[in-house]
Amino acid sequence: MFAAIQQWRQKSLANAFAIQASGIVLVCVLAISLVSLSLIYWMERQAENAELNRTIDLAAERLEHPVNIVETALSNLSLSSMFSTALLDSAGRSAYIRPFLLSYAFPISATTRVALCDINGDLVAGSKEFAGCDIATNVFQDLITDGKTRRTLARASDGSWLLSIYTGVKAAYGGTIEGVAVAQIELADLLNQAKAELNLDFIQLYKLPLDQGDKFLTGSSPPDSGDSRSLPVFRGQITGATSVELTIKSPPHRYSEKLLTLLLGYCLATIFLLMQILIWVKRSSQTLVVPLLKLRDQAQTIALSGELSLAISDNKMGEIGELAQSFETMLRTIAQSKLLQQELEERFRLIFEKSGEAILFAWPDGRIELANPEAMKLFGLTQEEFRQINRGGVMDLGDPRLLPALDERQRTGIYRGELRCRRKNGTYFPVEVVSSVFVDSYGQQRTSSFFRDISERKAIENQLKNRLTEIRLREKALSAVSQGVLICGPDRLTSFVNEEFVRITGYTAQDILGQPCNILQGIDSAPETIIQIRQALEKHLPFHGEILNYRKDGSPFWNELSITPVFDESGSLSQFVGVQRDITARKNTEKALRASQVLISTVFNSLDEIVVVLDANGSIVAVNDAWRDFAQNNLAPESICQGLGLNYLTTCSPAAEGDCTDESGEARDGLAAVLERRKELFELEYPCHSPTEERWFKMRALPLRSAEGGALVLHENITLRKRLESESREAMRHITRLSRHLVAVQEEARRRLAAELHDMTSPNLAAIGINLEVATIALQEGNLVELAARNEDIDALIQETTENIRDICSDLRPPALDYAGLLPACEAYIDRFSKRFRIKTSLESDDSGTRLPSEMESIIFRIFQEALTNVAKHARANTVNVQLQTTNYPLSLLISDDGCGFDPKQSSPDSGLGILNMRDMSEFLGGSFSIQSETGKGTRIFVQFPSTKGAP
Amino acid sequence: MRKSLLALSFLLLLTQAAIGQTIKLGIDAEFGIPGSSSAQAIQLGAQVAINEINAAGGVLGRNLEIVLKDNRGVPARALNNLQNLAADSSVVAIMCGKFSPVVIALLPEIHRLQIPYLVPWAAADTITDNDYLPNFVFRLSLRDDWAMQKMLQHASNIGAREVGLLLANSEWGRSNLRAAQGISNVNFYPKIVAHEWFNWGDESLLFQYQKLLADGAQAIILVANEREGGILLNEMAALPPSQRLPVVAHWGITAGQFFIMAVDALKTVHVDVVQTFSFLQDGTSSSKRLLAGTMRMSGNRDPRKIASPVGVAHAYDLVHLLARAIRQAGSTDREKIRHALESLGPYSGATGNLKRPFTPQRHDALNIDMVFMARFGPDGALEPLKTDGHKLIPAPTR
Repeated sequence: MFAAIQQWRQKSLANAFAIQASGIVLVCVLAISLVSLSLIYWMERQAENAELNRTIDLAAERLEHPVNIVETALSNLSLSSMFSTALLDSAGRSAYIRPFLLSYAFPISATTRVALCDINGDLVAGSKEFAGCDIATNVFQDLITDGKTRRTLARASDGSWLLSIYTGVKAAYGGTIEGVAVAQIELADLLNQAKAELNLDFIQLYKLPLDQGDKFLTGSSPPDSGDSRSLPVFRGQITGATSVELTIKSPPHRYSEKLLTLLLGYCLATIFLLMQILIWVKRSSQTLVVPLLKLRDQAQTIALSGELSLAISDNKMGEIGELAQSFETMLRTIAQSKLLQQELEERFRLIFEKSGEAILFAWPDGRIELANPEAMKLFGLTQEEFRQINRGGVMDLGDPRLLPALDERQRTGIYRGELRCRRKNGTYFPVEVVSSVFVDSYGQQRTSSFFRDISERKAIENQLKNRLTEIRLREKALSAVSQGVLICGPDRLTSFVNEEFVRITGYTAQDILGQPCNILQGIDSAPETIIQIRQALEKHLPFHGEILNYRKDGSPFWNELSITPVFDESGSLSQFVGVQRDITARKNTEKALRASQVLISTVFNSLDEIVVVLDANGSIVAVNDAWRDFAQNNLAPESICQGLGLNYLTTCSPAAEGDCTDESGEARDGLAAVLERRKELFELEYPCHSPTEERWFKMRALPLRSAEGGALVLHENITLRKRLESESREAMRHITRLSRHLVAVQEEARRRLAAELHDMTSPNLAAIGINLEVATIALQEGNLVELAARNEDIDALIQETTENIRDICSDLRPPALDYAGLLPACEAYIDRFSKRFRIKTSLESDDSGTRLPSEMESIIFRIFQEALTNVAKHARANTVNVQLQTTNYPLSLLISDDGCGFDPKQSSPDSGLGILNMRDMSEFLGGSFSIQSETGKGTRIFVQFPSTKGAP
Repeated sequence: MRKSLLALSFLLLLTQAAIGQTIKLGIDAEFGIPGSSSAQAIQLGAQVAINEINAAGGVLGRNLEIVLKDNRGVPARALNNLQNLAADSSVVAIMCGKFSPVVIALLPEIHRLQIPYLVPWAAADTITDNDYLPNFVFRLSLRDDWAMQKMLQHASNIGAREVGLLLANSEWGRSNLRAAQGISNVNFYPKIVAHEWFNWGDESLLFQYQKLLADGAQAIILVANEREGGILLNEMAALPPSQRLPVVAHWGITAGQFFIMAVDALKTVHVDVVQTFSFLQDGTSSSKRLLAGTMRMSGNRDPRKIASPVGVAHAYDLVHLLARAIRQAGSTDREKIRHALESLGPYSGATGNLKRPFTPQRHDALNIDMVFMARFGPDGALEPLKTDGHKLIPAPTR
């Protein structure tokens, strides 16, 4: 079979084509069948998968939806006030919540239970089958902490799985989570409903991770075949389980039944197609091969005859036509190139013979092959002579440039340059040569050289070179000049600068040549100087002056500039020559000198002290602003205000108008001594009071340390110092007085304490002593009646003494002041005071209850106590009124009585000490103290404290 | 020589008191309920008493100390707190707050743990009438049956012949209903025409109120805490004047911010409330001492500004009674203290003079004569009403 096909194939190109085409078609058909079968299989699978996915989504929804319903219902229940009340009212729960929950059912068909638990996990109430509040898990505690609803999986007592939902119940008061409502749903019920509704063979629920024993939750047993599909359900909603997965399975595939029919169809179609292709390809190939054979025959004819003008083909279409056209084009091109060659040869001949340059063709070893007519003319040689002489006949072999030139031509293929040539008559002349190496059509190296005589050009170049040397010498001379030189033409563009100019300005010659010659001028260059320069240049006059110029880096410098116009032989302007000198250093020195003078003058005038400079005769040389101000303020005449030229010794001081004549003589003598160099320093303090204020001055005279002599006189205002000294002396006197008071007050307090202790305790102690003696005798006698009586007496005496001592202590430092504050202490004191002295005493207060600083409370209380003591001792008053204001600053205390009063100017030493004491205490806290009294009209004491700031 | 010996022994005593372990009193009350002041008032009264006792040398040479627990009015929390406190042997007794249901729920556990339980506020009758023997619960406070008698009598005084009861749906409310039903057949009390319940946490009491109004009530006997009391008052104030009945209230509303909630409503609605103690009355020397101590602790110098005065006074007296019982028992043994509490002698306290505070049969220290009616002053202070000079408010005409 294979051999038969092979034989048939070799019979013709058309047969071969047919076999080849059939093979290709067979492979294509197989590939198409494979792809289409796979595609059909894939689509079938997709449809099945989509169905399975839809089913599992529905199943998951059947599972999750009822749970969500229960959770919503539970959350609503947990918000009811009945639940929150039940948590607070343990005994009353059975009354309402138990019956309610016993019969409660959630609105879904699966079995559910519900319960309310308290925070300890004890069941408050629940439906019948409720499994119990499961406090063992963390769910309970976490829920109570964060209040978030949670779901868990739990196992009922019969082993079935329950989904429990826990939600927090808030207490009515406080709003904290105080209980947990629990709902439980039978998972098997939910699953069976889904299975029935979706008509599934298999459905299962797993709890992950799978490595644990309780992975299988519930569901039916699996069938043998079919695809399974799993889907996580309750994603992230079940506490304690990584994931819960739902699994279902599909029925077996239907694809294999369709496969056989499809394959049979593909086979029949393939056989039919192959037969058709075989027949059709063979037929069409035969029509294609005929023109090719024709073309082959004609090509053979052309090759044998060499005749190019044969008609080759009548077929102009398709690949065969293109082949024939290419064949024709080839023949045409060969014919055209023959004509082109002839034309090129003609052009070369014209160039070679008519060229103005001498052309030599030669071999690389120097043998000359051909020379053009110009070469014969230049070298004076005939064509024959050229062939006989070598390179040495035309070139100067002594020229040192020759060998490197030949070397360069050999390396690079071309040499351009100047060389020296030799004529037939033996003279030498310079030439410009272009010599190149090329390869001829026989593959041999040849050279072509073009020569041009350059004798005339060389002569002119030599002349120019000499002139240039001369100019360079001149420039060098200018450069050596020690001042900067700039030359510019009548167009004022710079044509030359020397080295010194470059050093001064920082510009290089390249920077500045061709630039305007005023390039150095800048923003601070004086405009009037610039105008002067411009006018000089316009009128072709010389200029000399100083101007601030700028270096290339922008820094300024002072330039002493001279510009001189230069005229040529015809008297017209040829150029300006500018000469620069940097005088910045000199300028700076001048400026510093001026600044220093101004500074000294400013310092001199800024001094507070009045300063006068005198010459050796005592005449005023200079005065400062302080002198002038002082003189003007004292209305001195203008001559004194200026002071210059006056003789200082004839006047006492600048303040002669004031009241200062007493010391003028002394001042004059001292100043004269200094002027005569008898004294190094003269000092004098003197009063100089104006009509409005007291003033003190200190005068000092010092000799001037210069050859001419003279003196410096200073007057310093020392009024402030004098005043401070005076105040300090006054304060010392005040302190001394206070110290004396303090000693007196202490003495008074001690005396009073001694007197009270003695008055109030000694008699009682003595009486106790007597009683004790009597009791001792009674004890010895056995007189118990007497003993009992004595004991009672002693007891009463001790009580009284104790009370007396408490009174004394209270006076010294009332305890109420420490623990209750100022007001209660005052109240207590008034209470005792009015009882003891039978003086009706009232207290008015704004009673804020705020406490003052302890020191302030103490001192106010002391003043209050001292004032009342004075009333008791001296006033013979019936009523006393105390007003105390401690809420807002200023605090105030007012004590007024209706007693006999007194003349404050003639107070007794005793009460005087008390008043002094009160005044000192008030001032100690920065307060003010005032007393008003008149004989027979009572006394008013008023104390005021502005703020706590006065307190130390 | 004798002096120095005395001083030495005194020093020794002091040192002992200083180094000896403190005797602890647990207070487990509703500290965590926002706006409630009852627990804080109880703590204040107890602390004033303890300060006094410790300043005088403590009890058995040891200082007293309070341990605080918060139950937020929730029985389950109170149960945990009770167990925790009882586990500490230095805790000799526990004091509770105002919630009766809490105490009632704890009764079995109190008697299982056998720890004296002091009640300064919660008023349900069954708290002390609990059938446990020996009984570990001691109350120095109001009883619901006293409160109900006083409220009904007061309703009658202000001219109401028929009243409606508005009750919290809790053991406290039920205790009050039982008390009311027990005496309603007595002639001189007004007739109870209806009673209505509300739950703790309800947002409105208007429905129940209007039912009572429809049933012909001429006054409302209100058994509620401050939250629901405030809600009711504000709802009543929004009604037309003819529909605003006078309210006679149990004292639950005084335990917090009732006055702040209802300050405007109180201008239009008539409210009288049961009390057992007031700082505004001329009191005993104890009550003056308590006032001084309270002022010292709180920095408040105005007796009108002391919140929930009954809680302060009851707790103060109970702590003093406890200290006496410990002293009398000579031990911190709980059973001995319980026994001593039942056999204490006369005590003059802030609430009044008690001849014998408790007996084995009677565990309520106060009596109905100490109960009186009070009214909110313009600053929220509870002002006792004088029964003789009081102007009776006529029932509204309808």
